[in-house]
Amino acid sequence: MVEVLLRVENLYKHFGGVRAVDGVSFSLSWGERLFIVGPNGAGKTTLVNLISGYLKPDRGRILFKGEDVTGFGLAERVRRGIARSFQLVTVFDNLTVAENIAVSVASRLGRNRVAYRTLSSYRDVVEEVERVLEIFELEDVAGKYPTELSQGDRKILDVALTFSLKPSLIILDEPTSGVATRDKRSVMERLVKAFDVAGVSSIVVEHDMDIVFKYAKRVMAMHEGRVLADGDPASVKGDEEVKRILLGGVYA
Amino acid sequence: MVEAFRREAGNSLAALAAIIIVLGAAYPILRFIAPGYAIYLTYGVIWSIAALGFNILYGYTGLLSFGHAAFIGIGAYTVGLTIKYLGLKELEVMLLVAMAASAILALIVGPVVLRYGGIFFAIFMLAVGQILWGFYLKFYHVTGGTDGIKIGRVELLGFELGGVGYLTYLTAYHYYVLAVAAVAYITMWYIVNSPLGYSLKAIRDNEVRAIALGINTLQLKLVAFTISAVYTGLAGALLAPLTRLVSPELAYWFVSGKIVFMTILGGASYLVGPIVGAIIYTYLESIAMGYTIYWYLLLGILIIAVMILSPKGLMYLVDSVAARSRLRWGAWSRSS
Repeated sequence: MVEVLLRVENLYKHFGGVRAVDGVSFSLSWGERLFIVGPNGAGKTTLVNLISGYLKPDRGRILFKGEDVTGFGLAERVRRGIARSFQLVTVFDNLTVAENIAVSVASRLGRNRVAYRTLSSYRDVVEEVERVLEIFELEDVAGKYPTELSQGDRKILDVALTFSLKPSLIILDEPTSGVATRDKRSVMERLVKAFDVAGVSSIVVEHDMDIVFKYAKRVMAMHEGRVLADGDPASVKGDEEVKRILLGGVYA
Repeated sequence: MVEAFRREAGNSLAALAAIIIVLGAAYPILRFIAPGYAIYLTYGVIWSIAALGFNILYGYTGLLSFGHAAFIGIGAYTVGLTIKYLGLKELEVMLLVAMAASAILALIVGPVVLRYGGIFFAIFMLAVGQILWGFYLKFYHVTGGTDGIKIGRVELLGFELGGVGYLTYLTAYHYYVLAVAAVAYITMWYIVNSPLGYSLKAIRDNEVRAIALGINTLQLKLVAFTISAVYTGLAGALLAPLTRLVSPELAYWFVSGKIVFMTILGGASYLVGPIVGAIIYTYLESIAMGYTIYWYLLLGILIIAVMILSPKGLMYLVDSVAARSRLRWGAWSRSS
């Protein structure tokens, strides 16, 4: 029981006649990384919205660290350690990369109200900022403004802000969307490496199959609100239904 | 690592120190070469405290207030009323009471007006200012109405200055104001570089994201609003002994506009911007007023010119000239 971080039991969410999530169950261990794949409208984003608290399920339970969080709002889930980032990058454009992260770190340490000391005089804040910069390989751009960064670095900064809150589970919705094709791999590689170093669990919704099969240890394929297959990349790739619906013969 | 926290020259402690020294040294020089203009330096320093307070809200939190005259009025009337009804003489006590009164007003009004952003906040604050202006005007048995309240000489640091010459009194008052301003400037430097200051900048850039990072944005905006009110109230209180008359005019919306003007003139994205803007505006106003009754027109043209030529204010010009010279020297040293 202790090893299970997140358990999703029989989750249902229908929008009118659309069965966005239709009886999904799975569990996630501490430190585990799960990729969710599926065609448009498969219910991937709805599922992560249910887990992160942006939507309430019609039926089913969500257990996080053994606690039933189904009825909890967004803020309560963030406080318990569920954090997510969105498809669009949202960072603070008039603060440098280091300052962006420092704001997040100061928030986690509960120092937002301190007005009599400079932020950069806090040794623990600066050390934590340096650690996050190093983990995400952002040291070289620490003094730059987000508008001066590549789209890939902006995306990584966005995730780094969420990461700085030290959540137990990070949910990423299409982290490589909008990133130039040649940068997609390096972005995903840096994210995956950072999560492994910190031992943080993650759920990643991703469209790009090449990337998924390169970086995944566990893949969950969805279609029309249901789980088609869940397991290691090879077995998911080998699944007949997955081949027919998702891969369209490309990988056959 | 330290470089990763940006420190533009216009935001540095060194720039503040330089400004304080200039404001101290310029006074005797002006007294000597242009005696009539020396008093405007004192006015300018007082307005700079108000503009600095306004800018923690505008430049750092992204909230534009069109009603900061409300706090100028609170500060000035605190001095007027405590002299008139309590017979107080010590200015230090009056300043503290004025700051407390401004904070109380901010804490009453803030939780309501801060729920609104953008133009709604601006208009809401305009209304608050005008309500207080109406109060000073109509409660004439307390406030003296349009006649206002006359202010005699006040005691500075416990010194009775009734017997000294008027010019000596003005000189003493200038350095008193400058000392208060120096404390206010340096305190503001700490505030904008503190975790609070950075969190406010985060709210300005993207409030939704700030909330997602667990920042209680409404609470922090209330803190910023209160700091802003205390600074502006302090300026109002310092103004009273210099104008020697506290009247509703000090709380009129035109004064709110003036504070906005000063801040934008100097540059809202720089810590020293509002200070530079306040000093320059005060002189421009006094000079323009002396030449023509159409001085509103002159100042209007000026602000339009600044908005076109340097939308980020005069400090931006200074900053970009400095950056250009850095660039030129960099290129020169590379080619050599």
